[in-house]
Amino acid sequence: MSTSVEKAIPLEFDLGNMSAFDVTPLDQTKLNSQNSREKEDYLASMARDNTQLLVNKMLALPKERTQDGVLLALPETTTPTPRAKHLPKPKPETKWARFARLKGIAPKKREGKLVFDEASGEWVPKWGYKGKNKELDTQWIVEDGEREKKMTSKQVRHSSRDAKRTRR
Amino acid sequence: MLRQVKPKNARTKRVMDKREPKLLEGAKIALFLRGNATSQLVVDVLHDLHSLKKPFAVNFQKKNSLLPFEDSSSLEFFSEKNDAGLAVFATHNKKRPHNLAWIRFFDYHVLDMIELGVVDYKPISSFHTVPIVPGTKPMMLFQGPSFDSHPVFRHVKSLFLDFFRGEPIQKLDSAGLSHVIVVSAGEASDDETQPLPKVNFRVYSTKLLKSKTNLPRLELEEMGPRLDFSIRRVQPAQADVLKEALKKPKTQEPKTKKNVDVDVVGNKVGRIHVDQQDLSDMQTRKMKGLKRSAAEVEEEEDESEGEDEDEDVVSDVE
Repeated sequence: MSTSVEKAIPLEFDLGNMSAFDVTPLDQTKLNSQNSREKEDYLASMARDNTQLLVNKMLALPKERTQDGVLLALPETTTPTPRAKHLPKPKPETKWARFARLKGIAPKKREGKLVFDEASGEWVPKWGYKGKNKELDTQWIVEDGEREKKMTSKQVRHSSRDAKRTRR
Repeated sequence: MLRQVKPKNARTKRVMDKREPKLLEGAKIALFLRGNATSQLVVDVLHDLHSLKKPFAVNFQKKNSLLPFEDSSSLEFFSEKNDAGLAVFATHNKKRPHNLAWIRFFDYHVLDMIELGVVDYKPISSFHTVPIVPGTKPMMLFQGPSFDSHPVFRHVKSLFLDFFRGEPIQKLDSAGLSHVIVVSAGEASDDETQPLPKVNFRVYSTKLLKSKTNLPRLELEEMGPRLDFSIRRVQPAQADVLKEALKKPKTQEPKTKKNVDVDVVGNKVGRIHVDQQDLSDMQTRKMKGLKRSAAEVEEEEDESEGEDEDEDVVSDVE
């Protein structure tokens, strides 16, 4: 069960399109024979040899092992084929896009709800059910001055006893 | 051209955005159309080709009185309505029995056309193999020297490659090497009066068997359809339109700066090219003592005159 094939003229490959091109002339007598069996057998044998070479080349491509199986990285296609539509014209940059690019403003990345808690070594939600912002309310022991540490200066000013009295 | 639709809601806008030209195109959608008179054979061929081309195919059942080689406006309307890049038009008459016209479009205008007559046909249903999953990318094989040398066969090669290759993908599952489309043709003779050789279209499903080496042994089983085409009329693409269609998007390669190199040691070295300086106009330090006086200039003139005289004498002797 050999996997190697001898070829007088080597095939040309376009692995991006998973195709191979064989330039060796075919046996005209077999191609034009009235006996369809002979013709089909000849075509099938030629096809098998050439496809074996193609598959060999394909399986030699860089592989990536994933959960779903072995993936082969296909290269760019080499055979030029006409497009269905013209190339899109580059759209002019919007005023904001230009400003952002010059200033170096990158689009804000969504942080998500989870935040890494050093104490427990786990990812806890920042707010909401079992949120880290409420941990002082549920802790059974709180140091004096702990609440002030976590508040912003504005919150401290508004929560102080004097501030509350003046508002009243 | 159809009337320009202005999207009134998000759904229509999405549909329009899908049809916008993109840098990297997906698979071309093919239309399968019938003419005023069709034969059962050619309709079955159309059905089989449709199954090979699924899901990027639209199959129409009604008859259309179209003459692709005379008037292409109807076809262009179809192409625009269905956002199709390819079309196969089947007809049957006494002059051209079991005829298939393969049309390619560029910007919803006909790019090129070729007429292939079905000479021999064996449908998929007659082969008892497992049908392929629609949408799998097939391997393609072109056998014969004419696909490289003869313009008509190059057209056939480009057409079949474009038609059957499916979506461009970056990563392929190794189990995806399921079937192969083999197109073969004999050698075209130089004599133009001779008919062109037939194009043999075969589709095989692959079976990979264990072998002694790392690579699997391949076995093919024909799964159909089996088609033999004879080449009839050809309308090649116009050179300027084809050139536009073959344009590739500008890839963003890192622009290597010219005349800047990195040394063996690691120093960044640059080259500056300067024009040749006109040294006669250069501003230099003037040393009055070295200036040539009027007397010296006269001396030099006399000497040079004498040299000329000698030269004249030499030439006379020769």
